[in-house]
Amino acid sequence: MRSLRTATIPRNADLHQVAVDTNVLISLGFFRHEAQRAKGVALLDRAAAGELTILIPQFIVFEAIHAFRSEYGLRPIEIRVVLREIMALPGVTVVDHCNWPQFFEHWSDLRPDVGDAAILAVAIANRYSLATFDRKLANRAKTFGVAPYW
Amino acid sequence: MAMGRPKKEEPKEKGEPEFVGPPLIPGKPAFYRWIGYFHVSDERIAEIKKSLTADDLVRLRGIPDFDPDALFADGDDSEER
Repeated sequence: MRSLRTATIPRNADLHQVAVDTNVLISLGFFRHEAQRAKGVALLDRAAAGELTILIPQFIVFEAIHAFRSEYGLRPIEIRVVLREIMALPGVTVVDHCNWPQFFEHWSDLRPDVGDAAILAVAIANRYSLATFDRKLANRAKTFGVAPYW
Repeated sequence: MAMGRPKKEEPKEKGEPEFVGPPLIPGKPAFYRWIGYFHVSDERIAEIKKSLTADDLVRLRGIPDFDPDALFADGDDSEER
């Protein structure tokens, strides 16, 4: 099912499309890692300036909710406002699709992280760049032709 | 102008807490007010680290040489990804 934003806002295929992982979303909200937050803000600024499109897969939203709740103890009412406002940012689109054949290709006993497999699958299938602070995931993505954003 | 009956206020769900959040930043989209807003204490970080055993990390992440102390290190992975 396509998201409301995807369905109503035609996406410019020529624009650089960057999928973000959960850690990028979380790093924006927290005083946790100054350098990562600065990188995340620069990415938002470029999207707001119309230089690129940030894509947030639906499963990243759920993973972020889980982390906000279980790791950082935020209340649903807080998470709700934060997520609504990030989704309303200019240049940000939530995408609901997941390429399942690709997902099963990348999810295994050797690589059991579900989130990594899912975002890899989406990035590979749609030729998105990938914004992640996880060097191992970025290197892995590169071997499948996905350009790391950083 | 037609005068209708005054609109009834929608009743608030019981137990729904009030939430305002930080003020908007002039000239910036609403989300920017959240940037760096939440604070994670060193104690909480220590708790998160403590809650993850080396076995968990191997099982969950499939990285045999994963170093739990690197969770919050510069440029490395964190617990979410």
